[in-house]
Amino acid sequence: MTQNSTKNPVVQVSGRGTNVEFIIDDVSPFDQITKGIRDYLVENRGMWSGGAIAVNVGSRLTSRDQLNEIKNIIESGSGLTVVRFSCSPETMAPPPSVPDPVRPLQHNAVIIPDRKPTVAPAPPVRPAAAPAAPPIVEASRVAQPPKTNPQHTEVIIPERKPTVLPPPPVDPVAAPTAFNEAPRQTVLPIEEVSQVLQSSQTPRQQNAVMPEPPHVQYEPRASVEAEQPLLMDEERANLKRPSYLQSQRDTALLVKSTCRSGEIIRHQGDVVVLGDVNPGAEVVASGDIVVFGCLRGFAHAGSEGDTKATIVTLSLGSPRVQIGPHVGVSSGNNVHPKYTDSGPVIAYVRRRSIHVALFEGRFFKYGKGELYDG
Amino acid sequence: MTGRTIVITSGKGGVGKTTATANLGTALAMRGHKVVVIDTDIGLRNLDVIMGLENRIVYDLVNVIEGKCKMHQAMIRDKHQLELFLIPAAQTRDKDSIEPEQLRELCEKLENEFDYVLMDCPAGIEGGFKNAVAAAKEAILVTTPEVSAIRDADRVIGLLEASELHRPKLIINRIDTNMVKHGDMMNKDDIVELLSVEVLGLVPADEHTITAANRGIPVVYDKKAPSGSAFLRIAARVDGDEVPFMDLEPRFSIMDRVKGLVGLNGRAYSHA
Repeated sequence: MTQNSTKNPVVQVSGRGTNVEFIIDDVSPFDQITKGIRDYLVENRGMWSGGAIAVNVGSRLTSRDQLNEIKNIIESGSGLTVVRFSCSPETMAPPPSVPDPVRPLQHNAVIIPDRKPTVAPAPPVRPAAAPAAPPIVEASRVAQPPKTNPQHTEVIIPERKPTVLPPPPVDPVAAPTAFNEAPRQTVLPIEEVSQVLQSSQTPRQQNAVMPEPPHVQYEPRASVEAEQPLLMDEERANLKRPSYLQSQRDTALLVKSTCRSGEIIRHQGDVVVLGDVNPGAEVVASGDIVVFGCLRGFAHAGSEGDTKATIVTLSLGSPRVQIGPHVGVSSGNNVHPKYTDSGPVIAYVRRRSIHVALFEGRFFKYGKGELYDG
Repeated sequence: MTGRTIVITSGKGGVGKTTATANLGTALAMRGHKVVVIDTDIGLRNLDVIMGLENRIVYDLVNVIEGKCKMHQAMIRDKHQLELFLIPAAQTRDKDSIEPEQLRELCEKLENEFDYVLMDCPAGIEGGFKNAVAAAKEAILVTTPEVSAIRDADRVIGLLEASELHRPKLIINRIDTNMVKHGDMMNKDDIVELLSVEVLGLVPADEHTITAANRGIPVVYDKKAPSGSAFLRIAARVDGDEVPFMDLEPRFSIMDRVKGLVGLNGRAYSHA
């Protein structure tokens, strides 16, 4: 059977056979939605003969209670079984009228895959016995097909203050153990990060002025780390974290000035430079490097051999960059450096050489970029 | 009276630190300030030559610091400006003969008597540089539009910041408008973008500077010299006046634009 209803402003049904989807308007207020669904079910009472459907809530940010309510309405009104909620990838535009004030979009962790055939094992709908659970925010991101690397598609790293967040809702798709505790421990709250930074910034010295420390070295400081609520070692070992959440990346270093010629910044973890990296300066990080400025000096990301590390910069004019063991060299005459005016670029390793592409997001699948080699 | 102690430095040699010091000192004195210029380039003194005072040297900086003479005995009054003094460097000693602390003490004494204490810093980033920088409260950086000079200037800015001299001001010396126009020389914006510091002034390349130095008369006295008027403007800016920048930006004719369209006007330098 094929249905297409344009009469009802709230609910549209699309699909065919066993793959039927209710698409719910994501702009109207919620009580109007429930009323609309009821009306729709009453109008089309004869159309259903049981079966499984999916509900697409568009880019609306719905709470778990609301999803349960929708499910109850549909199941009691029609005899259908709601097996899956999903969000619409077409409406990836910023969340419309009802943004959840507590948890902005990037914090959500639940992406329910969209557009799978119903024969696929449907993830269980959230149990109705969790009324007090924190709101689920449906991500309006394209859910990747399950064949792609699940680490990069399913879990979004909480980028801000993870300790303040309520525990992220259990994702039916991602491994729950991986997600329960990991973000709390791996990412420093922002205040503490800035503490690390300030404390490590003050002794900023130059090797020519003070020959004693041969380089500016920002090592993660043991004292700062000790203040963190660390897990016991075995607990730590029990956590099966995705590789990019591993513990070497505990701290990020924020360099709040331009890195000038002769300065070397070494850090175990990620480095963010709020300024340029001038020629003659070096940034060496075991994690990623982000430069909010022009990178003209030498940058070495993944200095401990991590080839998954990336270098993101607003403008790349560097004669040489290195990721893990792989070295990229800019074309000999950088008379017109190609990536100086193009907007943010990312350098990454592909097939054991450095490629450069316009930055599309941390979890974008970068294919073949421009080879950074001569 | 609390004066300002300013170090004039560059990193690279030969970019015009000494010329800038002499002219800036003279220009500030012409504006009615009490100025003392100190040559801290011990062993390679030449500020006295540029100012035309080499015949009057009796005592020098090292003598003052070692206590061989009084501070006022080493100060040489300028020929033209009554309120401009020079403390020359010792030619027969080396840079290790003074300590940063001693120079700082001397500058603190001088600050009580003078409006401006200008220090001509030696090239390089070794002992002499450290001495001068330790004593200074502000810094002026001289560079030329060459990649090597700019690379050194970048390094020096880093070193200045490391010794708590934040936000140094930049003088770009020897700008050749013609070369900038043809894309053979960096222009002001390129340099500022790279160094990200405030520009204090632009000095055009000018042969008057050389003849003036040879005669021992600072070029600010030369009314015809564009570099002289540039230094007068810089002195005004140091003094806190708002002075528009000299128009050293290239003017492009129609022919130039056509060449640019055809691609004959490529920039011949790369970023430093």
